[in-house]
Amino acid sequence: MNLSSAIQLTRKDLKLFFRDRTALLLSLVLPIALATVFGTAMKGMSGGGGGGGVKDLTLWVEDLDGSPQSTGLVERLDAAAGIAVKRETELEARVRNGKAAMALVIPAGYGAELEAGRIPRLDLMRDPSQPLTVQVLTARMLPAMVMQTIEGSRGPLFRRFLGDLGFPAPGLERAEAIFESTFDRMDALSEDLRTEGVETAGEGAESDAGGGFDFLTAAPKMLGIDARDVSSEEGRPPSSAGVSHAFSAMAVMMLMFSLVAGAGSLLDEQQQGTLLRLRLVPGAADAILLGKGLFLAAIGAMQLSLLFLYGMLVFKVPVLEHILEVLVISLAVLAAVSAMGMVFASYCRTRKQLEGSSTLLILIMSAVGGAWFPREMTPDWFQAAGKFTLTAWAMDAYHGALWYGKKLWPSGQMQGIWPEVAVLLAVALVLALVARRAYHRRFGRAAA
Amino acid sequence: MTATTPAVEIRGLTRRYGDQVALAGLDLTLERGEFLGLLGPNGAGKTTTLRMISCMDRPDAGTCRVLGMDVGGQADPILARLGVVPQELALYDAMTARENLEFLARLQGLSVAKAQERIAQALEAAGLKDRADTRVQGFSGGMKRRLNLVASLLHGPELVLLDEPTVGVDPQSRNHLLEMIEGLRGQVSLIYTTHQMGEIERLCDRIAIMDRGRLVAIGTMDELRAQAAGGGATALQLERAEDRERALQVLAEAGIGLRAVHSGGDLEEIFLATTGRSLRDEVEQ
Repeated sequence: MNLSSAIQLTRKDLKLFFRDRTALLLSLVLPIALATVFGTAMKGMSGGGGGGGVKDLTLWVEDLDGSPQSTGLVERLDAAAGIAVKRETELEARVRNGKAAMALVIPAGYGAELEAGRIPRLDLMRDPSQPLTVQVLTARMLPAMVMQTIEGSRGPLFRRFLGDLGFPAPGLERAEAIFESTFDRMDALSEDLRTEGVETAGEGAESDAGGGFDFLTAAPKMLGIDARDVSSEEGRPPSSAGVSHAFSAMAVMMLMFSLVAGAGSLLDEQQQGTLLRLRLVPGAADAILLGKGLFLAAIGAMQLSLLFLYGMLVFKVPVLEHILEVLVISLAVLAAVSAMGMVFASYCRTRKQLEGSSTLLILIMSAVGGAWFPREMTPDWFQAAGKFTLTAWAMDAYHGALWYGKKLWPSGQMQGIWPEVAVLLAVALVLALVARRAYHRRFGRAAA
Repeated sequence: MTATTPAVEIRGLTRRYGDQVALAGLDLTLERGEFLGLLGPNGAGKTTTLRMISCMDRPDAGTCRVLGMDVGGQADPILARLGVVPQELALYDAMTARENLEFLARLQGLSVAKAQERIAQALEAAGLKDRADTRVQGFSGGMKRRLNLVASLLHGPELVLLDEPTVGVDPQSRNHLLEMIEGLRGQVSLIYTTHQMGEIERLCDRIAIMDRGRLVAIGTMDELRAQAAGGGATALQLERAEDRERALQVLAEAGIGLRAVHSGGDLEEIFLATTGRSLRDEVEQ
């Protein structure tokens, strides 16, 4: 083995590597960029540590009671670490539309129930398509709920003890009611857990209850909370929310990869000389751009059709039930992503440049836009940044139709997906104009 | 616009790219039906000139009229009557010869019937009739060059620009290509650029030599020889090659000094005498 030759070869390869900007971008900048995005997002989810503070998750609350006890509960929740309480009405609609991961309704009579020494009912609505947020919020609100219940019922309990010690009358009755109520709930809870354990064991590993005790499920029940999953289409298992999210995310991300790569054919044609031949055809300037755009839309349509057909057949994604919405969204997404591809092709000088820069942008947009982890768990500025990505708008539209069952226009409690579609079409228009301008600046002719 | 209007009429054409002057007041005329050879070292401005004529670039100053129309405002009508044979093999490798021609004919707006007629003629002329349905990626360099040529002529242009159309082909294919181009005489006006002087001598009525963005010589071969003689160079063509040594001896006995003796007195010598012998390495911008 000739070591000197090997060293010369290594030096040569290093020299070529450092002169290849695309290779540098992909191997050095991309990992740092992605690590930054993930790190920022995870910091928000995990609380940041080191004094970074816990990322507040919004708990929507409607207080129908207005008693000192219910007000106290709201204040206690708002003061809890990691929870930001927002008061609103019509909370069920908000959850059904995906605008709230979790909402708590304090019914009228809450204070009176506590006063009477009974554990009052609370209505907690959850969006099953945001399971991570729901779990974290539940965990964060429990201490406040426990403390509020204990404090609220402390008086009656105390009177019970006083009764045991010989104190007469109403205090004794109230305390007994509390104990009875609690024991009733414990019995019901015990039965529920036994049933869930049997079902879980039969289904495999779908639930993290594992046939045992799930604290986050059990604790709210002990506190009198009626927790229920709210979805617009009854009967669909919560797991289908994840499937819908996954297909929406992959559809958008992979579409961007394939269409931007497809747009690179413009650069291939330039290199091969065929673009010159096309440009020499009278009236072809805009036709070339439009032709490429339509080509991209066509291959994108094929890709989306195949993906959703597969999702429909294998994962029961309800595409047919929402076919009109899926078609409209897909047209808007195809227009926007095709135009984005043409922007890349018009600005980049070489295919390598296009691949390097587009890979970086698409991966970051996918992460920031919520394709890989829930946006609502990330810092506020991160969520705001997501609104500047195609990914977020496209995913919101698909997920809105496929999981939340939204139509194009508002219907009943449900919002429409027209705002998302309108944004996508506006983005498509702007990007198409940018691509046209860049194309003409670069490949324009005297008459252009 | 009449048939007597020059095919190309360029006056004071100037084009700069940053600090680099590509064209510095170029004047050039191509008469109808004329075959003009355009020569020049690398960076002389030949490609920029062709880009101007084919409406692919905009001049900073001067005018460029093609078939009586200004390139600045009438690109589409010009392009409809212009055929450009690019130096690159501007073909789709994954398509057959016929598919390439069909696509280009339809793109040029030919009807299906007219396109089929022209395609049949083109394949015949290119000697590719039997390989019409073979993908271009399987073609030899010569076959691709022939297809590249006829692909630019499908729409029946009046003016044809050829940019080094014989690069990288064997002598047989080159000869076939030159015969195809000679076959266009009487049908089109033509500008031909190449570094192959023999091709220019064979094909062209007049030769224009460019250097540093300007025209430095133009005329027929005889006229160029005469121009070169003005600098002390005179080409004597002997009736019999064996008289060469005796002719030199006679000149010497007559006291006529000779700085250099070249056999042939061909276009290449004239070209080098006109543009100099220094290297012109062109760096891609």
